Amino acid sequence: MPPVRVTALLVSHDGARWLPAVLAGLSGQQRRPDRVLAVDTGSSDGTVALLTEAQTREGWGADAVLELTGSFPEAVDQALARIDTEWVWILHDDANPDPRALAALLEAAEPADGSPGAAIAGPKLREWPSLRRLLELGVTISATGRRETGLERGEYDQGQHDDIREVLAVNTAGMLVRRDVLVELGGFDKHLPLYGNDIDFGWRAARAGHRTIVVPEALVFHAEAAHRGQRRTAETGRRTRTHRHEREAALHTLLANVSARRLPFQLLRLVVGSVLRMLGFLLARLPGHAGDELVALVNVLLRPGVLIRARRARARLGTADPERLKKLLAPWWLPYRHGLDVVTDFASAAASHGRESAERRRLARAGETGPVPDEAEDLAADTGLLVRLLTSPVALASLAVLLLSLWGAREALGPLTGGALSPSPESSGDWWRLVTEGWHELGQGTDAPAPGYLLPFATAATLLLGEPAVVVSLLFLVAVPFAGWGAWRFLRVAADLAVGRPASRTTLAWGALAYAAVPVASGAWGQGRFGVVASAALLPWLAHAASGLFERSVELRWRAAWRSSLLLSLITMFTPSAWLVTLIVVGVLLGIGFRLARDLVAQREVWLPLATVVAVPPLLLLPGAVGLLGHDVTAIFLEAGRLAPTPGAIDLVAGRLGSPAAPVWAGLALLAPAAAALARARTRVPVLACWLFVVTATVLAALLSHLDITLPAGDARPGLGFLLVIIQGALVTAVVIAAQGLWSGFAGKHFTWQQPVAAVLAAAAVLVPVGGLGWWLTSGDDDLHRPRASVVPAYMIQAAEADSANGVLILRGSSERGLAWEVHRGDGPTLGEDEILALTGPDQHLGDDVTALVTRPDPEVVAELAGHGIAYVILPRPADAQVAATLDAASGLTQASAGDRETRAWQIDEPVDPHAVTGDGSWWNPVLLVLQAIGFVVVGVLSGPSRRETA
Amino acid sequence: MSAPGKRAAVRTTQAPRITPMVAIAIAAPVVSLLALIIQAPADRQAPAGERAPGTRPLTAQALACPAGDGALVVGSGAQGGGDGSLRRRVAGTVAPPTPVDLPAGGQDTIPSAPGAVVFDATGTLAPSLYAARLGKGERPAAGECVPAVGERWFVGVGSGGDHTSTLQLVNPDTGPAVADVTLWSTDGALDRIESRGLTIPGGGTTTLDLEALAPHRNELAMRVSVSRGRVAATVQDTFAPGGGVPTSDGLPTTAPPATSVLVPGLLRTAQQQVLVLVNPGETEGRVALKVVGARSTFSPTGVPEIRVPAGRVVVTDLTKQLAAALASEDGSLSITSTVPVSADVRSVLAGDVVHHVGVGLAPGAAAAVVPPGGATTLVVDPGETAGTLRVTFLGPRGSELESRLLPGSARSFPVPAGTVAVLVTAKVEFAAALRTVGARGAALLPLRPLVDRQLVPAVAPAWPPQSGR
Repeated sequence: MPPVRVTALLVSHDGARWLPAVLAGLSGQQRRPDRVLAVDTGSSDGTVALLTEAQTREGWGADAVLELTGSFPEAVDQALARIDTEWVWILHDDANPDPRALAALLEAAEPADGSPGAAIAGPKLREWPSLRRLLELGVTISATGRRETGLERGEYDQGQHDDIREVLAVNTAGMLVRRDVLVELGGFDKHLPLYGNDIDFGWRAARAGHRTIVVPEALVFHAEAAHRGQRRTAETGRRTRTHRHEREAALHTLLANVSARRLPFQLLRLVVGSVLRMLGFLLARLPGHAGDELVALVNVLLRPGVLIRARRARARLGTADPERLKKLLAPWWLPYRHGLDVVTDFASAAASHGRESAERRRLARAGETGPVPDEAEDLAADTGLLVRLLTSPVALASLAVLLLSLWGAREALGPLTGGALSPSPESSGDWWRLVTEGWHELGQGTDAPAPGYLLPFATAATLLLGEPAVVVSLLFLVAVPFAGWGAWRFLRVAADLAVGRPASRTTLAWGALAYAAVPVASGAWGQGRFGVVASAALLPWLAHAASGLFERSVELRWRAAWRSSLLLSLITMFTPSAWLVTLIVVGVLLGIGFRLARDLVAQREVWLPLATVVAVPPLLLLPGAVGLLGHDVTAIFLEAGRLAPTPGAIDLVAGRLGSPAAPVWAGLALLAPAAAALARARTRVPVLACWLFVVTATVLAALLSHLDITLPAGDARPGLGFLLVIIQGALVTAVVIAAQGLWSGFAGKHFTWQQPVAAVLAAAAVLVPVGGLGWWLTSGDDDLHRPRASVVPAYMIQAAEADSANGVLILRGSSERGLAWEVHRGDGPTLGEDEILALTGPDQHLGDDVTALVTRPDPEVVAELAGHGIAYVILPRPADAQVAATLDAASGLTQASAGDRETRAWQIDEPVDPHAVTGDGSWWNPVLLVLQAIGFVVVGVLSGPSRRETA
Repeated sequence: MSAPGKRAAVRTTQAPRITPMVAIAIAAPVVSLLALIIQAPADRQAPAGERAPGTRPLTAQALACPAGDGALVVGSGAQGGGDGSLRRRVAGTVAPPTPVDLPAGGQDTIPSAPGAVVFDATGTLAPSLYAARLGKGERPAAGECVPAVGERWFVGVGSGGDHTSTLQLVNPDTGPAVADVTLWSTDGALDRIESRGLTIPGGGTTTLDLEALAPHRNELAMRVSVSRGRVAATVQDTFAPGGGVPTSDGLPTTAPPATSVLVPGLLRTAQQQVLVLVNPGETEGRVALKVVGARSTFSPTGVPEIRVPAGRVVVTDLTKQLAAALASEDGSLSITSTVPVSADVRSVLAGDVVHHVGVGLAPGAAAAVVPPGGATTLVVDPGETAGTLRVTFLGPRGSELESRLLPGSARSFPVPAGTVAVLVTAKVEFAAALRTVGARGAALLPLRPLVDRQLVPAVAPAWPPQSGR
């Protein structure tokens, strides 16, 4: 057999950085190529000079260096005309071959023993310059268009893949290909100038019946310069739109090569997949990639001619054996595994981002003091979860607190109502309607805005299989442990920030427990004030996020700002005064900052994140905020849920919202240590920062308590629940900070008056969580209960649900003590509707008609009621005899059956006006909703972990 | 943040003086304290408390009279002119209403109007309307005409061989009405009788013989409560003393159970005087009796404390004791009980039965038609307060007198012959009855407060809204 001849075809473009090493590798080949042909595609650096120099040095021959214009496929095409050898060995300017590469490739492609060789052979690609990491051992493509190498990311080459095997394609870097095959297949696809042309070529070769193998013995080091965006070409453009070109290539390859039978399915899958990937990229804060994804899809689909021509050309090559092709293509499940990997990566990135600032500082300190011994880390990692749990007092204590708090909240295992908490609606759809519709058929119909918290509630209910009651129960079940957990995390950071060393676990545990007691000891839990409960559970998380605003890194500061603004928005939805408190505190902080450190605070990267925290919530709450403008603006001070009593001064400072709540003394016990915290000089500044919140909250409470909110339905007082929570949180934080290092400070000192005082203060502090949580766990005193049967008979509810014009007028009270009326529509006022009804106010005209109804019900009055959309009148038990007798005597009313004998009901004979409560919401409501949704996506993406952390 | 803290620490340890930081540290709690001091007190944010009802002149009134063949007397206690009309119709018939010519403040006697007559008054005639059906027989008898109310108590009814009562229920409205009848006997509440949910058709009347409901009970107490619509209830009682000749008289509705009951206008002499008490509650009580005489209130001799078991009717013969106590003066029976009770004194005079019922104390105007057949006495019992009493004898030769009402002593006034009705007005509370005693027997009608204003409930939207669950 005559010796085969090989031409090494070196294609270069701005490769001066890698070229010297590549040329050295080329000249160091054991089996020297018979001919070298270097093609440069318009380099602007010293590439051509290097090539010319090598041409003379290595003696490549006269026309061995060509300067062409065009893409890689075109360059290969043009060079092919000048090649007369049987084999062509394609090299890139960033692909450095190992000395044995060509020899091994040739041996495998044309075996001396006559065993079947291959038309195309590729080397093992390893990363350059790391040299040990595997890049590719042949490639294939998944049905979603992903380039599959079958390797783990960053897998080290330990000889684990060193078998020659057939593959779909090999990379063009180091590809040894028979010249006649190149000619037969028409070279590389011109529509794939940069990426994916190798896979397409391999696929076409397979169709034409050729074999492609990978030869691990042949080794080429590849910088993958174009893929990593280190090289800019005319094709990639000024901005490195690598991702777009890769996607375009992948889509083109798939759509051009897949069998006609599978084409429609493939097309659908790619479109859906692209949209999903776009969402994924948005979540991973890669909006550029998301855009690329879309542009690539549109680019490919908008040029059907190109695809049709490409498919025709491939059809001429014949059809590959489907079984063989199936083996060469990536398995069908692979994309899903990748999806799972991405989710896992993302979650671990999010978790590792949660590596707190305190920990970062600890690591920084460790850098100064020396590393932690490896064995220690290994030990921690190797020990089983159970062992770690059982040997960690913190974990055991947390578990105990968790179980106790779940036991304490056991009443929430089921639908809840009572106090400020209205019964939950039937389905999440009811909440979504309130959120999205601009007109609510409640009362006499209203365009009052829905409360903000309905958005998270509706979302959560949808996720919980459309069960709103479960959302409420879950909130009441986990509020205490969640608040405690958040407090633990925040206090650790706060104490660390304040004193510059790891916080004592004892004080942290006290702080977490004392704070976890706030939602229950205050009575918010037992009084059904779900807004205060939710805010109390979320506040430490907001504080923790906001602690990132003091990071050194600008990026971390910004992320902290976005996260804080998102959490603040959430809290503001439940307790709107949270935003006001933050606004004041940020204003004061910036004011103090400008006075004390103007140069620092005046920097955009310092003040702007802070300002962002305050500016974002109104934007995220747009529909509610703008909707309120048409109503009473002071209503933003109302808490979520039904109106509830406001606390007096003593209750406020003791952290109590009135009865039922834990004993006041257990709350007042916190004041002494918190005031004493100010006395410790070492921690005075951070403790004062806590007191700034206390001062702000108390002053605000004093002002708000005198504010009279005049709603159309009646007067109300602003809710002080959030102020109470923030006072408690700030006091607890102050005590925890001041207590840091106190014990070690006393140790070994002489006995002075300070020790007994500290002991008394500590005892007082212990009373706070013990009294609060103890009361909750033992007393069982609360207003919560399971929803009771409505006073409205079931058949009326059915009629009312079928048509909201079938309202039910409910008259409570007696003639002697006064009658209170309200109109039920649907299944009666449920969670989320109270605020809307409060803003709406009863119809004055209807009120007059009701008065007339109970005094002298002539047929005109009854007809008027029907016109107001009232189909039934109910006197819940005990029905007032005089009113009942009056209504019985009225003509136009027919006695109707009620649930029990003491409840009286009448049906109005006149048909109701079907349009009594219908109406149109404002035109801008949908616009605001869209803006709100976009706002949430943007802020959500901005607060997520960045790509760098994912990698 | 920790850097300035350290600086502050160093400074204070070196020179303990009032630094700005210390000043702020003192100011912060002080400002908080001041803020707490000026904070408004706690606000319950609960629904507004009671809202007292208003009143407006009554513009429509319906009185249902017991069926009978005696004359009807109807009167108006209203004053002044204005538009008003009065019509009478017979419940349960489709006959058109008959107009009644009655001037405001006047009286009219309709000699013959059989059936359950309903007076419908509107406009200026609606306020202060009163009426009664007089007995036609030889013995004095009268039955009051009543408006429809939610609950009526009748004590001393019977369903035995020589004591039977008939309940007449009239529905003055067009829609159907439903009434529940509850009966108590000396053995306890009769809960196995079919007396719940009696439906009275619109504009109709239902007459219920208690014998058909719960036979063979001589002493019963009855509550008629209306669960749907409006019902006017009256009772006609027939009694044959000692198995003699049965006589019939109206049994006026008695005051609902209370711990203090006043039975005015007792007969001074009688063959039989029986106190019938009912305790509808669930706990046993003790009842003490006193007589409110012309000069003082005293305990009659020989009257033990009466035990009233829960849910039972208790009958006590007081013939001797009352005869002794009332020998020289007119008086009333004052009943004080540890549990709410309702009472009736059934007397027999000359073989004729007469019922004395509990009358509630009320200020203002009250009126009654004078029962015919003998000499009539007005007996007025005082409340807790002394005051002036104005008595107007209405009739062709109307007269008027004023008297002082003192707590603890009953006043009695002979009613001039020819008087059709008596109107009593006082600013203080009182209870009164007209007692007619003749040779063939006696009759009694309590004075009923005249209703001239209608209660208008204070109506307001519910705030804060209630969930109903």
